[in-house]
Amino acid sequence: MKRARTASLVALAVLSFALSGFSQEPAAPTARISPEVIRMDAFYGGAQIRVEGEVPAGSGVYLVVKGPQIEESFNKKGRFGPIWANAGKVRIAGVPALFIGFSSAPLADLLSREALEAGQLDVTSIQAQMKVDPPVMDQPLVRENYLKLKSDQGILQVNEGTVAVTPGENSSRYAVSFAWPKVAPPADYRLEVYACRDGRVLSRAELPLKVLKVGFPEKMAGMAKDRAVLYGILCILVATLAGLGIDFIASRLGGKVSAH
Amino acid sequence: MSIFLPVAGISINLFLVMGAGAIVGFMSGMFGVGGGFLLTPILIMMGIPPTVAAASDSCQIVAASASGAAAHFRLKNVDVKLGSILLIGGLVGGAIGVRIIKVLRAMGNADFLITVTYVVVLGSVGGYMFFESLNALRRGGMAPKKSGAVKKPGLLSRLPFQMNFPTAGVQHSVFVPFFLCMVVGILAAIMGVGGGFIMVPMMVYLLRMPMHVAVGTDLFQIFFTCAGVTFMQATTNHTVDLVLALLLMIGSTIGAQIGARVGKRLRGDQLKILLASIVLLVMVKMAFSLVVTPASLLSYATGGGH
Repeated sequence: MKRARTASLVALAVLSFALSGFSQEPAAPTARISPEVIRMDAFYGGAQIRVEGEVPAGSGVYLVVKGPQIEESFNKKGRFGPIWANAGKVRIAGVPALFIGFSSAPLADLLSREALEAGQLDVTSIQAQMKVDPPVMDQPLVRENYLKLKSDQGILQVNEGTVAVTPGENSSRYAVSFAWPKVAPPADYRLEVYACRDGRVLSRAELPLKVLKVGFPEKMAGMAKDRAVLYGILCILVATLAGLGIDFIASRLGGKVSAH
Repeated sequence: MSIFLPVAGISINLFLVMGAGAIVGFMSGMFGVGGGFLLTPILIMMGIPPTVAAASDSCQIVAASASGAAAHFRLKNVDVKLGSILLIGGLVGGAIGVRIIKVLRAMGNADFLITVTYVVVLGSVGGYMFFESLNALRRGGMAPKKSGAVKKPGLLSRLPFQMNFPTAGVQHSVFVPFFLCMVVGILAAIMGVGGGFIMVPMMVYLLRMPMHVAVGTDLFQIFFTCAGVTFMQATTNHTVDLVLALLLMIGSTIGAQIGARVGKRLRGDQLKILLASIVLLVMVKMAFSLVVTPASLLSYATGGGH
C-alpha cells in the first residue's frame, strides 16, 4: 500500500514537471534604454543611445527602433521623349518615419523571410508593405527610389552584427550604442527587442523612446502654430531689424562708401 | 556647434547654415537677386523639410534685401518711385501667373512646360546679357553709364503718362515699367522664383536703367515681396522657422554688405557679365538635368525660391 502511494506521488511529480515543461514560454528579453527621453533644447545636437539587457541563452538578438507610420508626397519624374521632367505627384504611405535595426548576426541567419515580413522587420518587408498612390506603372522603381532617399538621410538602415552578446548560463547579456540621427523629428518612437532562434522570433519586448522639444524650441514651435499672425509679424520685424542693424554696423565699421 | 531648429524640428550645424546664407547674401548684394533658387535646394540637402526651407528662405531674404537695399539707398542706387511701380506690376503679374499655373496643371504636364520655360527664359536673358557685355568689354566701353545717357526707344516716348525717374535717370510712361514688371511677375510665378534674375536684366535693357540702380531698386521691391510671402507662409502653412531664418540672416546680411561693396567696385559691364554667367550656369544645369537620367525619380515637393 505504502509502495503504491509512493509510486503515485512520483508519477504525479513527473507528470506535473513534464506538463510545466511543455507550457513554459521562453522568457521575454529584458531591455534598458538610456536615455529614455531625448530632450531637444536650443543647443540639441543629437544624442548617444545605449540599449542593454538579457535574452534567453543561445538566442540571437535583433533590436529595431521604429517611428510612427507616415504619409509623404513627392514629385515624380518621368520621361517626355528625350526629356526628364516632373510627371506629377505620388503619395507614399504605410512606412515608418524612422527604421533603424541592429542585430547580433547577419539578419538572414537570425530570422526567416516569413518572420521578417510578419513584423515588417527589414528594408525588403518595408518595401513590400509600402503603399504608393496613385498606383503608377513603375511602382518597384518608385519604392526603390523612396528607400534610397530615406537611407541617404540615415533614417532607414539595418546595421548587422553590431549588437555585442555575452553568453551566460541561463541568459545572455547584450548591449549596443548608437548615435541618434540628428534629422529624426520629435515623435513617440519605440524600441523593439527580439530574441531569435532557428529563424523565428522566440520572444520580444518593447520600450517607448520619446523625443520631444523642450524650453525655447518648444515655446517657438508653439507660437508658430498657435499664434501664427503674431509670429508672422514677429518674423518680418526681426528680419527687417536684423537687416538694417547689420547694415548700420557694417556702415560704421567699413566707413562711408561714397556714391559714384 | 549644433543648434536645434524649432519649426523644422531638426538639429543642424550653426556655421554650415551661416556659410550658406553668406554665399547667397553676397550674390544678393552684388546682383540684386534673392538667391532663393540656390538656397532652398542647399537647405533641403542639409536635411531641412522642403516646405520649411522655402518659407524660412523667404524670411531671410527680407533681412538680406533690407540690408542690401539700405546699403544701396546710401549709395543713391534706389529709385523708390520706379521701385513702387515695379512692385505693383510684379504683384499683379504674380497673381495672373498663379492663375495660369492652375490652368496649366489642369491641362497636365505643367511641370514640363515650367522647366522648358525656365531654360528658354534663362538662356535668352543670360545669353543676350553675356554677349552684349562681352562686346562692350571688347570695345573697351567699361566706364559706368551716366544716368540718362541712353536714349529710350521712340515708340515708348510717345506713350501717355510720361514720368520722370530722377534716381534711375530715365523717363518712361508709367505703363512701361508696370507692364514689363507684370510680365516678369507672370514668368516668376510660372517658374516659381522671385524674378530677380529676369527683373534686373529687364530694368537694364528695356528700361535703360544703370546696372547699380537696377540692383538697388530690385532689392527694394524684393523686400516687400518677400515680407508678404513670409507672412502668408507663417499664417497659412506654419512653416517659417525664425531660428533658421535668423542664422541665414546673419550670414546673408554680412554677405550682402560685402556683395554691395564688391559690386560697387566693379563696373556695370563687369557686373552684367558676372550675372549673365551665373544665369547661364543655372540654365545649363537645368538643361542638363532635363536630358540626363536623374539619380532619383523622387524629390520632395517645394514651393520654389525667389
